[in-house]
Amino acid sequence: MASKKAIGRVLVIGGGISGIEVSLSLSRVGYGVYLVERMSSLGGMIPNLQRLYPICACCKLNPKIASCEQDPNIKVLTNSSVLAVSGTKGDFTVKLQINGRKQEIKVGSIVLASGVKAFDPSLYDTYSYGRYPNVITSVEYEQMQKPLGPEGGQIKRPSDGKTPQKIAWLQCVGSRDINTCDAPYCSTVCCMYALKEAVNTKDFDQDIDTTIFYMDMRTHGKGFERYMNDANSRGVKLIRSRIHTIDLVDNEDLLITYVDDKGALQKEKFELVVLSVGLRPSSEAVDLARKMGVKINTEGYIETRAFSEVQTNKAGIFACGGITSPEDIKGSITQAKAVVSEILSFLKPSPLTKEYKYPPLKDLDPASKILFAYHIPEGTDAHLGKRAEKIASNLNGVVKAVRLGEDLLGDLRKKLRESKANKIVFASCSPDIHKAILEKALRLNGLNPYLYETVDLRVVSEKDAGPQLEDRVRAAIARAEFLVPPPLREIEVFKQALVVGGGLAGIQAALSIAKSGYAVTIVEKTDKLGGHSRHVKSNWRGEDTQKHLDKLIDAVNKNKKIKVLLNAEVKRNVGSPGHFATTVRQGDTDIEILHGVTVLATGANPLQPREYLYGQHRNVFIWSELSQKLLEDPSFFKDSKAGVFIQCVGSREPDRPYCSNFCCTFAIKTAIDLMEINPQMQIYILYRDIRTFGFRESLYRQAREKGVIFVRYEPSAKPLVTADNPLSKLQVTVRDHVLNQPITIEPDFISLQTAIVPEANPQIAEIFGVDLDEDGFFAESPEKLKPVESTRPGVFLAGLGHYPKDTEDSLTQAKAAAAKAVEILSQDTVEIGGQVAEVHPEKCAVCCTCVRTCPFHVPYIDHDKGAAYIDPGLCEGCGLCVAECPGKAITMVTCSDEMLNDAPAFLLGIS
Amino acid sequence: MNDFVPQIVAFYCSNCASAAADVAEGLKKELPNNIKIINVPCTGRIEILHLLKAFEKGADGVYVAGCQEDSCRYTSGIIKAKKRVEYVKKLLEELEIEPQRIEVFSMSASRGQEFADTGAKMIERIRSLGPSPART
Repeated sequence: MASKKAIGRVLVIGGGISGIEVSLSLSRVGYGVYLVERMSSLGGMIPNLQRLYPICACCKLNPKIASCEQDPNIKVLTNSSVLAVSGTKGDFTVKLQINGRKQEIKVGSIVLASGVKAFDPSLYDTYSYGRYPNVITSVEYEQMQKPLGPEGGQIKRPSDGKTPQKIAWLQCVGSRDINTCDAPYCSTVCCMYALKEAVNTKDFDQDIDTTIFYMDMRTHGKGFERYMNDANSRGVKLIRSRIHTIDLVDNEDLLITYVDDKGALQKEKFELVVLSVGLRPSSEAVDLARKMGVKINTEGYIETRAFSEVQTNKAGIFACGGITSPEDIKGSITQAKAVVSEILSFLKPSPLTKEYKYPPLKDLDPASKILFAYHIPEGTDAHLGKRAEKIASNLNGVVKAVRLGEDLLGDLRKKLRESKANKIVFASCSPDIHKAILEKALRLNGLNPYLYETVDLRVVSEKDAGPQLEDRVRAAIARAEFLVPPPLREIEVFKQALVVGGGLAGIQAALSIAKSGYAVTIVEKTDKLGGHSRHVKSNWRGEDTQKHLDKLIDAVNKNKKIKVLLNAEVKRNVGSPGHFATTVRQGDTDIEILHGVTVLATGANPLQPREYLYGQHRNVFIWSELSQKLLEDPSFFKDSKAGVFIQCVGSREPDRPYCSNFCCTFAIKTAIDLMEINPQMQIYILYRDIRTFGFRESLYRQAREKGVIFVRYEPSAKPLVTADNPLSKLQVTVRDHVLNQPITIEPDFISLQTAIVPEANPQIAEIFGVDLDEDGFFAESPEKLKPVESTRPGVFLAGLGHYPKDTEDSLTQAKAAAAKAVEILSQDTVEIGGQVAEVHPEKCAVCCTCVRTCPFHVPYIDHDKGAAYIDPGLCEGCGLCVAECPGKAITMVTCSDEMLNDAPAFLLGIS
Repeated sequence: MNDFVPQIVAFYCSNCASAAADVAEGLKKELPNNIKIINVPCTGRIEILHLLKAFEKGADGVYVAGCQEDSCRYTSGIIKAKKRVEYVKKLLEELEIEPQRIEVFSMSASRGQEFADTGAKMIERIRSLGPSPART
């Protein structure tokens, strides 16, 4: 099967975050990539944004762009476009226009990652955009908030430049609306970005009054509900309403007339109105897709196949990010990784350049011979570099000081060779993004890759740069003198993956890894595969989940690379990426598994509630039971006259402040299915906010059209469920928010959409040394924007244990986790050591301070040695334990005590 | 006192503080040249002794610039740094050196203005205190 794979490179269209992520991941598993971007630079939408939810992660984009540009396996083609595509999966011919020149390339697969644009509200009378200057879009507002934006981070309203004291956000502008703007879907991201903008406004000035006018607050993602609650406690006001009109008053202010949730007309004056504009697919990209024969869905986005959010109707052509549906950044990244997994399953990687062969490391000459090199981009003023060069060339230890050309790597290698230097001090305006190149150049010259120091040429005084440069260069060279090569070791990669959990996510992850050519062991605690997906009738699009599940399980059983251990549980895990050992207990036997990566797909369970007569009345179900009933005994509902769905049972409560994500869609989809069995049935959905994000919104509309009754309740006045005895008629009383009076329903059955609770997580987290988030789900890597990575390297996340999500999202995340796994499995060895902490056993008093200090739980006490041990394969190199160790038994050669103790003397000119 | 130019040593983390420097550069802000920067992978790496050494070698003021507490790439580095700076403040007091001579700040990649202001603020503070009594 694997031997028949075509060989090829990949074309990625679109240089936003999705395109960047796809390209970087493809390159890491060995593909040559052509990354085509229409504009003159990479980055897409993100450079327009001010801070990324939930915490600041703006610093992550530039290094990613730099990595693309520096990667010899990624050809970045800006100012370029695709003219025509012909051929089939594995063998496409693409005509490109690159900076006006035409060129033809051959690729095995194509990825559409052209992203989104913001809705243009000027076509939309109601909101007076373009008519009143103080009505602006959210994109314009973020621009204003950006410190490097035109207003330098000052919030000023357009009409008079005054800082507005009252700001209103209007949600769903260009979303959830078929009458005026032809966008029936929910744009998914606007609720969160409005909250973020309001919170950032409060950071700017706590006294500014911020109000968000919304229909339903959709904070359905990981950590989102907490963010909304925090925003609320910071004074961000949320008003459920329908906007009637916006009128200009007092020349510049805006009077908003709205209908509140009681149906009463209200008026309030604001000084600035921000329109939370929805997303639209990039139209050029959609045209191109059409030309390629790719189907477009009714919403105008690329149509994807059943149970694959990234596969188009054309084999070999994939799509990810905003072009497939409105997605947030993390969703786009997850899809990007899933695409890599899909490509790995049919195409053998063909790189653009030959793989580097590194010579063995030379022994370091005890005398430091430093090459001082600097990079100033062509066309910019190089005077700082020249001055630095002059300073450096007069210092002891420096054998050569040079400016590097645009081929940084090539030039560095050449200069290192010529000067016979054994260390580098490198100066540039952003040395952090050049570190990978420095390491590679040293390696290629047979030197330890950590023998370098950097000089930052930023924020240098314009008037009098001399002394400052002198300080920085002298300090860096002094530090470089102290550098000794940290020990490096190559360890073998065990070419096998361990997948914990045999539910839908686990099965998919295992299949994707196996199709990429690697062995997998699935450990499942029950006696069969499938997990909770066995209760799911269909995905939200109505496609048969059971049929798909059977197909996947069949594929697992037939795949010789996959081994399934049923009735088995993980007991112990040690090791580092590439090199893990896990003990699995099956019955009475312990099985030892050596594996290179781990995927945690352990799932979660629906909460067993203690309210609404659950467990006391036979016709009160939780969602999974109802779904099971619908699968096994649909005739049960044939004569039902009425049914009630109660939402948020146990979710969004003080002790469980998260949204369980898919319950709204589940309830609505099930209601529609039930009405197909029995069109006479009256169904009531009792809800707090309807969260049918993205295209799922169409189900909500469909349900209302079919006559499903939606009744909103406040958490302070929950529905009351009563029955005289377990066999008698049920009664549900709820206060109707429109009529403002209680209504009583007598349903034949009740479905409770209970919270998703990751019950097994504490135990699994303990075994695998990963962290949990505040809600008990697996925490993502603190490096940010890594939606399938746990807090421990080499351990990836998929499915409900990470956060509640539906079938589609679980499958996508599982494929993404598989792609990350293959990044490690595709290497023969991994290098450990370098920028890591090291314990000197003779000094260690076994006080366990390092064990308690390490944020990543790496150090442990090795009782044979009678000392703490830090696995160099796991150490993240922060140095916290080095600082904390009371016996000075831990050192870090790349940031040693000598460097830090002597640096002030060099800087202050007393040496 | 007016022509006193304080010598200040600043420890900067390579994540948030460095990203803030990027934005500061974009804003055309500069750090005055009497602020001397020492880069560390994480502010959690900085020990009490390193901070005291800076004073011993003649710094009039010292500060640590790290991440926001909620966005440290190493989770708790900046929290450790804050504890250590607090401790050094006490030590300085015992040595009859003004504890205000040392400070710790949380930087953020999005706030370049703050990056430059922090330096200026520290210079102003140390200028009003005068040369460090520890200087020999």
